[in-house]
Amino acid sequence: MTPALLDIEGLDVAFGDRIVVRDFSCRLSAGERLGIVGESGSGKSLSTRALMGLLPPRAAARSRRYTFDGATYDVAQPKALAALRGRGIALVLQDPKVALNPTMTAGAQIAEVCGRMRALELLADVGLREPERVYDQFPGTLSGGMGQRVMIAMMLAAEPKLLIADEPTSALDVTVAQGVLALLDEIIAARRMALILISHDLDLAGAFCDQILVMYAGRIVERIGASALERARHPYTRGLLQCRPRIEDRGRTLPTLSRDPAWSHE
Amino acid sequence: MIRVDDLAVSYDGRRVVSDVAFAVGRGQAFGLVGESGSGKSSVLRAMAGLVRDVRGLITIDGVDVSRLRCGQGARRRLQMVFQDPYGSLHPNHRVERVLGEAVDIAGLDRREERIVDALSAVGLGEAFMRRYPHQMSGGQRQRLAIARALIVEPGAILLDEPTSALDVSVRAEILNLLMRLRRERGIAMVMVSHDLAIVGWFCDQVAVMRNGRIVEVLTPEDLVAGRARAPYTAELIGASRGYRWRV
Repeated sequence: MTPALLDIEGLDVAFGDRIVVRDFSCRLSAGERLGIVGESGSGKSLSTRALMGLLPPRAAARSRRYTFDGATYDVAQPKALAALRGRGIALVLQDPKVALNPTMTAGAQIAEVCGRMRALELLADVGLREPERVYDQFPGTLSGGMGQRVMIAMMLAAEPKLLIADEPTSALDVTVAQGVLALLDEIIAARRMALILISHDLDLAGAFCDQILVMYAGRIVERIGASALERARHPYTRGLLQCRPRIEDRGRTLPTLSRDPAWSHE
Repeated sequence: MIRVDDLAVSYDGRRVVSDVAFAVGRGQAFGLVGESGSGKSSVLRAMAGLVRDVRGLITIDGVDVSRLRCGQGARRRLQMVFQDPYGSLHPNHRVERVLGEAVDIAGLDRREERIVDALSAVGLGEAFMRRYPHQMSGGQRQRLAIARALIVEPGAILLDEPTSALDVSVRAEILNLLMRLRRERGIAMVMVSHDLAIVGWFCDQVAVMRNGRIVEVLTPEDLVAGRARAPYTAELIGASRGYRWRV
């Protein structure tokens, strides 16, 4: 067994008395890709934010074990987790317009980490045709796809070992999204980075990742190999797969999910 | 029957839609797909009367409504449902007022009866009458938006990304509801979406838009068979089949 890059066991996240993530565990090695899928409020984003010490101030986290790249951390000590951010774990968010600093040029934000020369190289690496011009542009003047490429360049500047991509293409047009996914694909493979892809889109996670965690109401209800996704066992996962409209089924009533309260306690 | 002929839309003198024409029969659905900025939402907004600088003909059962203001006379028979129901409902109005106002503005009778009927048609019980939008889930709010469109007896409902703010399981419920309204009430629908799978499942015809024009119109059968003449359509169909990193 390859040594795990990330090993988290028994992670709980709570807002006061309300537990929003319960007993989250996963192991990930370099070069592996894990997809976390679930609907709004399933805890998929909060569980990974806890790993980076980026929970909202009112949230508290604890875990039985947390190791990253051979060192032990404590999710209950978010300040100490700052050391992990950037070179250890990097985050790419859904909307570059919100995630980038609107008052700094795209290039200057990247150069803060690695200097101008490297920033220009990175802008070229992420497929931006005129890196010099993009360098001097403010985020507000970039298209969605370009903004997301700048985000990826900035993330690469710190050379992280694990990339967490939280709905990285949900704000993009489908054809633009394909380009951004192909870029992520290439970068992850070339640098042997580990990836956690958070998505509401089971098909996307299945196509992009090796392993899938399905979350419901703060819990992992199913762990499944991406290639076995169509044979998922849990009724929630099955429900998510079946309720997708397909052109072939034109107009035929879509199966809907009946939620079983027991899923939250298993 | 709704017909759009020779439609052109401009914002501040800049043309964003040109030469758009299509027809939708009773109970039929017409889809508009394309990337952001392709003009698909502008077509809907022009039909609903939400844009000023519009040229061309918009007729409903032979009556031209293109010169009427939004909600005026026969134009009322074109109702719009937006992507984000939270943004399209007044936050301080209870459900009964949201629906009651629509009845009043349309000058219709039997206010209470219509409210109850519209709620039940979208699967919301009378218990929702006293609720505010923020006391409802995303799916329930979208049902309310559909009830508000239904209550004025529309000939057509214009749907602008009606399910893209919703979770996948809720999306299925809303799509089933819209399909039922087409079948049971013969309401025509025009749906804008970026999701080819949804449009292909829901619509009888799908127009692909680019740079403000319709580049081609396909049937769901064409989509399944991958029959596309325009390269951009082929790209869209490819993208809708999902990302494949290990071929």
